[in-house]
Amino acid sequence: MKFLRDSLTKKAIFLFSVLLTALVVVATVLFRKGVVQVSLWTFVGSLLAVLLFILIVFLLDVMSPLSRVAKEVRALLGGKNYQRVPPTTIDEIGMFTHFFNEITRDLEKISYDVRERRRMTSELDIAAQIQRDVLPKSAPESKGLDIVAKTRPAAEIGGDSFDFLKTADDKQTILYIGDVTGHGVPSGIIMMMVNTLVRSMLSMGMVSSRDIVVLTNTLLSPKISSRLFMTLVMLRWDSENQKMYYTGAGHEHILVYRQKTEKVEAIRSGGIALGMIPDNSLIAQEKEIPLEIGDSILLYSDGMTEAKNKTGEMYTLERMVQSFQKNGYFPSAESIFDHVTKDFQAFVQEYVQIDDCSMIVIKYAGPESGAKMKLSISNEEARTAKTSKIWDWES
Amino acid sequence: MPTTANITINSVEGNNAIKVIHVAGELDESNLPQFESAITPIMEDKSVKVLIFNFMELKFMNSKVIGFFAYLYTTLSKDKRRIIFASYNQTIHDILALVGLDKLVDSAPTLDVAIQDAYKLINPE
Repeated sequence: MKFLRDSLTKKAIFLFSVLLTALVVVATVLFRKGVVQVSLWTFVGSLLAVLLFILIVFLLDVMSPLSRVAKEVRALLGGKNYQRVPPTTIDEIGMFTHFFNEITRDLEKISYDVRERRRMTSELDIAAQIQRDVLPKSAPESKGLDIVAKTRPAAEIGGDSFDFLKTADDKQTILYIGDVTGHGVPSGIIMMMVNTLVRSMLSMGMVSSRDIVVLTNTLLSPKISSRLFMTLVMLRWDSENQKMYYTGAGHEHILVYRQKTEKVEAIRSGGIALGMIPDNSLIAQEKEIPLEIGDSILLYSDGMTEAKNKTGEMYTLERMVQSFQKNGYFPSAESIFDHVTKDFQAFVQEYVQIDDCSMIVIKYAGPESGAKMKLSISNEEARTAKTSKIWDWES
Repeated sequence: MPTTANITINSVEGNNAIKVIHVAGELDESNLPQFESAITPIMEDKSVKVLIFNFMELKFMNSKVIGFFAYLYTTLSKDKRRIIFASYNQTIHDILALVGLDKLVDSAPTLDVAIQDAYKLINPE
């Protein structure tokens, strides 16, 4: 009787056929017996019996399963607890019952995913705030230097960092820019580990940028996978003697604009990225960058040179050098920074930022100048609209 | 615009201990998973003693890819297995030198020299 079970219409037709057959049989029997009249009560009684039969069949086979499903649908729509209904038929009602069960299963999964996503977003927001708090808001006074530094992460948590610190004897300023492979939570964690290590070393009296880089690497390497390394270049400014030194750990070039020649020198920062080898003491070296008044230094992360425009063309070191060479003569670090940024913006335009971008411009203004520093980390609201307009540090 | 790279893997004639991986195009995080899945079986095959990466047609790779090579180097070094980078252009050389990976991994100016170096590594005198 499967052909009946899978359709209400077939059931209705079958029922009608049964009743019609019964009527024909009764009529034939009565006719053969010569009964040509029946009493009113017999007729009404028979009719009632037939209608009752139809009602019972309708209640059992249609209304009962339908009302079970409808009850759970009402509970679902009313935000109350509901249960899945085991289908008892395979007709249209059975199909709706099965559909209800599937829908509720999918809704439960989606609801769980949404809750998880909300929880993770909330935790990421907290982590991003912690990271923003770690990055410097102001910088120690460094006689002779005019500095602008900005960073814009590609995700809630970034892998780029910079910091400006004084040594314990207050005679040196340490500046560094660093870039952990990739971006996101793993990179952010390593960035904060390095930030904490560097600060700790300075507070314990370390002065040499080379020693700081070597010890940071020694402590960091055992803790991280070699896939996740950090490139870094650290400058040490001896404000008493007005001398600049650097130690590289596999970072991008240090660009130096020479006021006298109006040319840019691209100095390889050297060294090896932090976390690649357990001991970099034989490779790390501190070297001097001779500076004259009016010279400028530009430090950046590879998110800038590897940024692409909509035709897929990369910005490259060459463009960075050209821009710095064109704009290095400006008297303040801020004006140099802004003009280099404008050239970058003109190239990338509505850039889909895929890596963290950071840049530091340092102008050597001479020992008589007061120290100026302007630092900026792009704010949270700006990060939500990365692809809709021309790239900027603040949007 | 998606980044594409073409990867082919060969054994050196008569010697399964040396594999040559030819990489053409560009490598970055968008195609790194495919690159990794091609290299991982070789990395896990302990009978392969030297991996030669032929970069003659490789135009660019970014820091995430460098990270994978650093991981590959560290993993293979534990079993005294080696990597050789062959025939890279100036751009690739600059990228490797910037991060310092050239100080860890052997390199060769051509594929033939890399293969000769590989033979010396697996058959030291």
